[in-house]
Amino acid sequence: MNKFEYASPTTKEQAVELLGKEWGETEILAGGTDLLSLMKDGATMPKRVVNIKGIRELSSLQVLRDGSARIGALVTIDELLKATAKSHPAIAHAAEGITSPQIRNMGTVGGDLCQRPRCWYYRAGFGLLARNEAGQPLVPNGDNRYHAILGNDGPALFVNPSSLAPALIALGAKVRIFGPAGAREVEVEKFFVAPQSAGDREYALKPNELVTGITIPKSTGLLSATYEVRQREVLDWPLAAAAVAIKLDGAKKVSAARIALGHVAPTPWVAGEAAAALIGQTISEETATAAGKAAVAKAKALSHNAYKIQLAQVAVKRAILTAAGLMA
Amino acid sequence: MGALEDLAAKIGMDPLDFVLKNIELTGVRANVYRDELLKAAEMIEWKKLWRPRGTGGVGSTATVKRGLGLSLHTWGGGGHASDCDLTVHPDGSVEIRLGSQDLGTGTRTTIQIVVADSLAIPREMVKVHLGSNKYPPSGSSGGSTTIGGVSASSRRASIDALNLLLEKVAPTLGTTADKLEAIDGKIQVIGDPSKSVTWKQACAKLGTQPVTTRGKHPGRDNLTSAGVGGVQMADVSVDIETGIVRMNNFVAVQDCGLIIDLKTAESQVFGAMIMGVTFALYEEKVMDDQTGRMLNPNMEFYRLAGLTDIGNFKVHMMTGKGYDERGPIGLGEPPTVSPGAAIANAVANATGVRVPTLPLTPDRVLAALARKGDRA
Repeated sequence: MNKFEYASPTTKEQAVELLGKEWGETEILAGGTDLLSLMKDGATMPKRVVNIKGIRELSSLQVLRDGSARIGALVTIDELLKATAKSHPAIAHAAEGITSPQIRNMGTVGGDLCQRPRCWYYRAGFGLLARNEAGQPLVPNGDNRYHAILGNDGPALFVNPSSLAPALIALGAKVRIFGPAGAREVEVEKFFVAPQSAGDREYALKPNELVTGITIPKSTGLLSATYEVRQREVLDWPLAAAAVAIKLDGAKKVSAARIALGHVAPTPWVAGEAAAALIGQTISEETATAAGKAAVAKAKALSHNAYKIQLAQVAVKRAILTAAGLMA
Repeated sequence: MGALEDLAAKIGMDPLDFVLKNIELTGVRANVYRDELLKAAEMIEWKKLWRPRGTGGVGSTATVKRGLGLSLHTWGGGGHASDCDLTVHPDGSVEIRLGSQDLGTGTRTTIQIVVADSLAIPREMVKVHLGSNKYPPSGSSGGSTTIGGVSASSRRASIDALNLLLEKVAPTLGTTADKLEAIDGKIQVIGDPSKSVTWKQACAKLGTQPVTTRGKHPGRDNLTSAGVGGVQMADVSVDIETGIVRMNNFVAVQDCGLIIDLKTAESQVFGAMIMGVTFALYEEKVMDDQTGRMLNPNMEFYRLAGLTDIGNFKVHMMTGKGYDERGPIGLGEPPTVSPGAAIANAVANATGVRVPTLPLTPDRVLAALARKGDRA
């Protein structure tokens, strides 16, 4: 690990002042569950690390009876799990999926959204777009068993690692951001972008902006769930995940649905086709299966990850059935 | 064992019956294997739970199939060369030094037990020194050869030291050394507790000079042998929509000759089973052909089984007549041989398809199911 300067601001204004103008100059430290391994692996070599744990307002957590919520960026995964267990099953399932008490206790909501991809070429130092010295992409001809099956037309082939993002997207949440120009909000699905060049980041922040929290709109009457396909029960990255939020009408038919997939594309993937397939339907094994098929209709396998298409489809089906209380 | 289970499946036989019927083909330890197979079958309730391949075991659902598989194995495990120095001090304390090592297998514990039992003194009076080149040479740990070597050399050193001590004590008890025995922390006339001295009193006869004896293996008498047998049976559930395999129950029945310490022996088998589940289901070194780099040099993608992944384990060690008189035989590796086959056979039994490559990862299980055309 290289030498670096360490700063511990106590206000978000100070934090923003301390952040650099270019990506990579500075990195934000919250729970540290990702940043430390990135620095040890040499995947990032910041000149300054800005510890934001001293900014107390970022730890606030408010869940109202109508399901609307304001969640500070420093709220830990464990605090989030406890706060949303009854109100937002999709979020709680995703938080539970991080099956390490240590990481749930240290890891934060902001960190979950801003953690870097687990692509093993990126982590081995070949850059976010995984190129060799000659600039040739390594993923297409390499071991891409964990890489993208959707949104993989561009140069980015990694998968977004966020556990919470699919659930937050399904619930229509927004990311609160603070920067030199003040505060702004952006929908979670628009917060993530597939980078086009090696210098880009995979989220819509400027280098000197900070995620300050999440806002969840009213969710009364929504049925939600997340289903992750993980090989092990102990801490393991999902091979595919899906989150759904569904509204049923008086006749128990789906009147509104939002479905998002995780670990299948360079961004959390909004599966509009799957949601559309559910509208007007009664939820059953058949309609859930059809929605799963619709979610992956446009999926394209790389050389070693065709199985993930099946897993993504099953994740969607099982998330829908779980939300509807039909999963065994 | 995969091929034998496939053959049994092809001719429509329960693999347990198939192996039992052909048990003589296993050679000199056929009786051991027969006993072990019957014991393991009882422990895992084979006859109650086993169903023909691919027909969906007991408790299967539309998407989760249960299956049972078995395997058996052998190993050498004869003792390596080992020298040791055992010192009895005038205050009654005992030290043993040998250039061996404890890899976490319990070597230190077993040496202490051999010495303490041979001298009939409490274990806490024996101090074991390992891990230095200054000590008498003892083999490296490999091939499950440590226990045979160190137990034999420390036994011989203990017996020689005891005999020296008996010579010193005999006049006090008005007899000769060959009429004495060490029992319960005392040295007494054989069968006569009224004519005895305590171990400490006996050692005090050494005066100011400790006595040291060199134990060797190989040496006089056959204290160890080689060749063991074991049987393992696995009970798994396979999610045929995701290809994920979960362990339900896993049993191991193992022979290793004379067991010095049951707890550490069982622990060896438990350890082998944990790492066996790991290599059957998870463990894989992924190399990149383009860069020559290992892609998973970390604990997140070089997966090992965690506590909640291993299911329920049961271990039974074979003891008694036919086993004890063979002396201690190596145990580290024998139970690592079967897990891959037993678990892969259970997956084949559950799903009706053979996944031909370990580890049995979701992509491989789904690919095998797709070849069968049975995927949901």
